[in-house]
Amino acid sequence: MGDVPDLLPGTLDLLILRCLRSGPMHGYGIALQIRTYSDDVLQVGESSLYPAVQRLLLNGWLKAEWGTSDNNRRARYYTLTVAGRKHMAAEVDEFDRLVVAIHKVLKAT
Amino acid sequence: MRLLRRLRFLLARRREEADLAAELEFHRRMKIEELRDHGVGEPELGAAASRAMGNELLARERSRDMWVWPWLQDIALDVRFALRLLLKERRFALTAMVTLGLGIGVSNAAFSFINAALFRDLPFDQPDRLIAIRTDDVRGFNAGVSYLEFLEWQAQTTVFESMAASLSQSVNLSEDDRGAERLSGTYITHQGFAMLGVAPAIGRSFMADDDRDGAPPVVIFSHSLWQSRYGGDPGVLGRVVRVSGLPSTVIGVMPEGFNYPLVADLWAPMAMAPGIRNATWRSTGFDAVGRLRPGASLEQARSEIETVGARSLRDHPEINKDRRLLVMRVKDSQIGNGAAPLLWALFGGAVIVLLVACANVANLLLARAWSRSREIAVRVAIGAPRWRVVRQVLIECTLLGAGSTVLGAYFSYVAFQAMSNAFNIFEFGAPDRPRKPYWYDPSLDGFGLLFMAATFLFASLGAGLVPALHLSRADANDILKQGAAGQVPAASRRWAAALMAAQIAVASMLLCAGGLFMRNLLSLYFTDPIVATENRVAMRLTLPQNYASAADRLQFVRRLDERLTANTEFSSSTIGSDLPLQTLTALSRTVELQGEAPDPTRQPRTAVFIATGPRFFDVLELPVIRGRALGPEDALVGREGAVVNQRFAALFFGDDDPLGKRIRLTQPGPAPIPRPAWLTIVGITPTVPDFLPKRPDDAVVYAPLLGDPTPSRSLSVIVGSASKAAAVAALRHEVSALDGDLPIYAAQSLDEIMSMTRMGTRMIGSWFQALAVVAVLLACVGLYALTAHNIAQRRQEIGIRMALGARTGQVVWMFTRHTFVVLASGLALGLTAALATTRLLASFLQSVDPRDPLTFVVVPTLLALVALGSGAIAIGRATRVDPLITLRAD
Repeated sequence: MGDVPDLLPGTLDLLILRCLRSGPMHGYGIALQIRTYSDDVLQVGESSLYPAVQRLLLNGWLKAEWGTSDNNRRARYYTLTVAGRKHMAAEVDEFDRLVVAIHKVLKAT
Repeated sequence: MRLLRRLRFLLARRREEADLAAELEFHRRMKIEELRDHGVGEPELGAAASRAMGNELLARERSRDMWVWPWLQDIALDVRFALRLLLKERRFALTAMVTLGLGIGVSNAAFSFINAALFRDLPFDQPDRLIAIRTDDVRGFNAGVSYLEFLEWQAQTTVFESMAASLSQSVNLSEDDRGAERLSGTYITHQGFAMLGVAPAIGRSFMADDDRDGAPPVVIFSHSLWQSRYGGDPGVLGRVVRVSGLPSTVIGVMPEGFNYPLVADLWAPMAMAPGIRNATWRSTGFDAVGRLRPGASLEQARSEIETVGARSLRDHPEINKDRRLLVMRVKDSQIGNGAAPLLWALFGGAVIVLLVACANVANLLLARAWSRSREIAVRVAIGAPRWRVVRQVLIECTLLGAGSTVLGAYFSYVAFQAMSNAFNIFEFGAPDRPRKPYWYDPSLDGFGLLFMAATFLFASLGAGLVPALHLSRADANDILKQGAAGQVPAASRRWAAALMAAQIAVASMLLCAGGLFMRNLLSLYFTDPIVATENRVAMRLTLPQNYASAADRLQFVRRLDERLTANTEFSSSTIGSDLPLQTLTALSRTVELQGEAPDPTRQPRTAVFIATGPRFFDVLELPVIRGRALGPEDALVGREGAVVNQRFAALFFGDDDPLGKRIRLTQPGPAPIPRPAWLTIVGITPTVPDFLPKRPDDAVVYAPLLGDPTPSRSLSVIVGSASKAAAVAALRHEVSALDGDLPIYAAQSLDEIMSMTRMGTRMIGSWFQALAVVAVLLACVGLYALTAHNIAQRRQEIGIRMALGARTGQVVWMFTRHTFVVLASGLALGLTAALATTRLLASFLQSVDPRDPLTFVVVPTLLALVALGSGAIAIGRATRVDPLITLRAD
């Protein structure tokens, strides 16, 4: 299964943060949710997902804790930190601006 | 914050990686379940999940890269690789580290001296503003300044905030309830301590009132005297002690470690100095120091002092016209004449050894690089960037450098310990108690660490750069096309040979210097001291002020002589003013020849004067070449006689016969009335050598002590005794029976005096010899390695030659020829350079010509033999090669 098609830089981080807004999730869950919400357009490979998660951890936007999954397996759950929430809000605004701008360029005659 | 998180990750790295692995495993299982839900059959499930997962390794690598800088990881990898390589080639690594370690060790040891002696600040307040004024006489010896001059400068210059003069003398310290001690005392003007910016640790400093004529005498002790004599008892303040007979009150103790102007046990105000009221323009020997006003420069001080000095010279014709006024920072005046260049020479020699070591290791690495060139070519061929290859080599060198620096620190410690006696001051008053000057602090400071770091960097880069560049330029294609080990490019072979020749040149230079010192020392040991030195002990005592008249002093001499001859502890005994072996420190007198009109325009001629007590010539076995030795009758009025040494005869009489001629000796200063009697020369003795670095022998006159109208208060007692301790105890007993306040000091056997006079030469010499041995050792290692690698490179060629019928001799000659060329060019270069530079050492060589032919023949021969020997070992091992094996090896 391939990686996410060329995304704008930072988009994957944003998607991960967004997934975690409603509550803690494990890595597999994040990948699954991105795929489901994007109607199978965005398929995030492990070799992109886990490095991105590590980057977010390094920046202090996520916290990781071991917990138990629905089917009783040990899984690592990620939670948004306060800084992560703030960062996400700012990034969503920025992304909206960017999308609108791109859209304008594309629609221009 | 990020850095902190990064650090936490690095510390718990193993756990973090396990977490990630567990997480990915969880991911895989979920994937399997997902696929099973989609109806994938059990047998393919595992493979399908792995396919779906993509590159798990990549995920892990990239995740780790988030936390750890990739370049750091690369370097860690390189370091590990280099460590493995070096461990595998332990012999090579050890050779390289010992080689570099020796270089680093000697240069750091030498730097410690330079640092302690020349760079470190004086322990005073703002030492850069302290200026010393001194004078050098014709011979370049510091003669000090006169007190009257100092007063003139103090009154007439404007650049100094304050000035202080001091006069250092041996003093007797005595008390009713403690034994008398002979100590170093310094009389200092009252501003002295304030000018230096140092206050006593307890008690008070001198005040202007203490430094007046007739003020109640006071004294300040050094911390070490306070500790050794009074056990640090604060009750010492207010105590009354006798300083050279003068009852003085102790008012303070200086802080620990303080000393001034060089070494002193106690200080007293200048007003207490004996004879200070009668100081003349000719009585020099005072130290003068001033503290510059803020903003004033050394040049301003110099020009003001010179202006005032020129005026004094005009107004007071008795000032010695041949002397030179010197104005310099105190720091620069501490190291005696000629010592600073000597230290730099030692340092230069050490740096040269470091260079040799670097060249040597560079050569070893270069040789190794050839044998590794195939491995490296493969790495380059499969895409390793060149800078990675260079980095790999440099990392290897840095590791070698680090190991060498650890070894070098140890070597430097050992060398430093061995050499640190070089700074000992042997006071005339206490030769058995060597002391270091206060400004000499050999502890490792920031500067020393910096230098060590610099030598580490220099050694690592110096050894590694050439091989690294060489490798980076190698053409992978060429190397891979060639045989197993790769042919050595001619250019690098020339490089290696040139480095080797340079090493031999340096080794031969150092060896020449070392050889000259060795020859010099040997000839010093074989120089006949003229006088007998075995089982003879010399001790000194100085009669205090209350022995005012000549009659008092001579009365003491007569009574002491009686007691000495009666004492069975001494197999023989005599008394004199000084020893013939120590004319440098002996007193001089002005010489007049009878029948020669005095010439007022010339400086009066002087000669060393030694007053000899009864049996002086017998006890020292001082021979007489012509005429006779002095006897009791030569002390009688009207029959006064003298004996002169050959040097005196040559200097004052030339080819004339001095026997029967008459001379008159006068103490320096105003002419006494009545004038001393004329002495008739009755004998001539050989000139006793003083073993000091090249300076003209002293002209010496021996005359009877008992006939001397102005006998010296300082006396040497020479006794025949096998034990110094027993001699001192016996003499102390005899002297205290005559005068309880008189300490015995400077007890030394004559053999000890001889060995001390040779010590300077021995110290300098041993440093150069050690450097030379190290350099030769390094050159041998280098030559061996070079030859061995040369042979290893051409092993195949040797095999072919021998298979085709070449005899062993021809093969041996092939390599020996190369060694010869390298050796000969190195020696030629080195000897030429040595001939040009060893005359710089001339002032430290007493009895050897700096171009001594023997040294210049023996040194190259020795070096050539040793070098050829080490080459021969390498060649010998190569020719035992079986051609079949070498040909099949590839």
